[in-house]
Amino acid sequence: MIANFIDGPLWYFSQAVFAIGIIWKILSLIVGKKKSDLSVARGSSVPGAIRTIFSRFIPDKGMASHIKLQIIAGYLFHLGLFALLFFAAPHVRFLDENFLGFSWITLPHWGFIVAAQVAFLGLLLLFLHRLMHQVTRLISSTGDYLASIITFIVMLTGCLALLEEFSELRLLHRFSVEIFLIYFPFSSLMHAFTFVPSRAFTGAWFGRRGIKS
Amino acid sequence: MDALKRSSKTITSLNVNLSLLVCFIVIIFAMLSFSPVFAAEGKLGNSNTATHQLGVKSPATDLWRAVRNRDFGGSKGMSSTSQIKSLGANTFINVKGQEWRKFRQNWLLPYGGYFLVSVVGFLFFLYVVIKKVKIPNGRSGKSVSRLSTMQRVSHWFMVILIGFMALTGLLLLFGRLVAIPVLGLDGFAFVASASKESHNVFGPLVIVSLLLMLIYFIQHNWPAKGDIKWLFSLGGLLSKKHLKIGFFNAGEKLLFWFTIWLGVVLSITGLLLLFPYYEQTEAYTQLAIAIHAIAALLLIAIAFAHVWMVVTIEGTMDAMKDGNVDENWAKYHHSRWYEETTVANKALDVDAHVEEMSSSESRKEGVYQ
Repeated sequence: MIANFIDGPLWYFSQAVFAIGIIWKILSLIVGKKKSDLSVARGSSVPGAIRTIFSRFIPDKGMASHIKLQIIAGYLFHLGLFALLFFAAPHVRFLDENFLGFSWITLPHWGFIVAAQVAFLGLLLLFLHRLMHQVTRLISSTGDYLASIITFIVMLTGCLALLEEFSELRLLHRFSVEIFLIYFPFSSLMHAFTFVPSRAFTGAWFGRRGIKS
Repeated sequence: MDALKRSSKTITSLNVNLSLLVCFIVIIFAMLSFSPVFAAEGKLGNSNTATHQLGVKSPATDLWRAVRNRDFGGSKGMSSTSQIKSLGANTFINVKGQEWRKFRQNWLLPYGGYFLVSVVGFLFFLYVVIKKVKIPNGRSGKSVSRLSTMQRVSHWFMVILIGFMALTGLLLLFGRLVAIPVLGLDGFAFVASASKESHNVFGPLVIVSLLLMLIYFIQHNWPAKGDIKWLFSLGGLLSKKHLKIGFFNAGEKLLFWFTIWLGVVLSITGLLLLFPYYEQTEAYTQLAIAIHAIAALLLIAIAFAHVWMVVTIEGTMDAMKDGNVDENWAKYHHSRWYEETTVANKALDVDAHVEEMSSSESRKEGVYQ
């Protein structure tokens, strides 16, 4: 009964919320009212946008020494999660069978384990730093903690189901993914989709004013 | 003086309750020896006797016993030749697995269980008897900075990992005894699978947490003046004088080093179990499991004791929440560290004041020139 619900209606509902939510959010960014810039352009906005999209991957020199943990743990978590999401064999197989109809090279079992460990290490350190540092604690909202906790649960249930022998564990993982998908568009997790337009917008604005950033 | 009076009151109450403590320990052991869970486990190990009670002797019994008892070239178990070249492929029947099973069921599980239950029971007894040790003179309202963000991050990182590893490890060790009656066989099957997989994934992260703890805490955990006195006076309980303690007392230092060394043992044996491909014999694997389990039980017991200390002594947890402690707590529990910190802070203040004065003087000179 519960299994049918998780594999059936809840799965379709969560996908619909995820897809519609993301499209709606991105469209609202594009279509939304913007102040028109009346100043005389000192440079082109396109190179500025492209430059900023990539330059933001490298931490600012002045800040780097103060935020070593956030940089290291941030990269560990995001790279580990990327590898898990797109190169774990069960995920690639799932995408191939249900959505795409083609597959690509996958991580070996040990690679999957290492990617999971790297992602867990980064996520736990970032979460604890958010909680322990006086400034980050002040500027963090409940949604920030919730996003981290839900992501952790999704990763954890994925690891619990690693053997792929028990349907209960697979269902637990799928259920956590469904909660994640429903929560995603309404949370700070949206940065996975908005970081590119956000950086591009800032970069274009800087580029138009002749600022190299 | 008030603080000393309070501590002497605690000592008196402890002496009064010493007889209660002895009674409690005797009761715990008596209860455990009649515990149906461990008694049932003891019977599992002697399953051979159950077959004899049937009074029917299988004709194959003698044959297989003879096969099992053959001893070729000093190795226990019957040897033969095999096309397979893997380790142990030439052994027909390996009796070491059965011996290991007996050790696990007759020694490791019952005595490990007795040990853990006794420790938890003893700590609960102490919690009930001692109650909360209040900060003498109450909270002052002034705070002293004690731990940095990274120190707290590394501590809680270890807490999460050790907690998770302990939970999954205990489920793997005692799960058949404790979890099957609750979850049933099917329920326990997937819990055990999930525990094993996650235990293996999170295990190597414990090494990272040990390294972080070493980096951020080792400077406060070297032996220092007053440690021996602290140990001999049982943390000041048997001392009439108030002991002057530095950043950590000897008990906290022992906790740190026990955690590190037990963590190292757990990491090495855990890695041996994770990668059983490097010409390891079963004997080494079994030894690694035994050492891993014993070290884990010790570490869990130490962790429980640590939790009891934190819960019992008012104000201790503050340091791990926001890095600050109350001034009265610092004066009472770590007076030498408090004095050193205040002197250092005053010196910094004086330096800053002198610098400010000299810069304002030079500014004035500049103006007059």
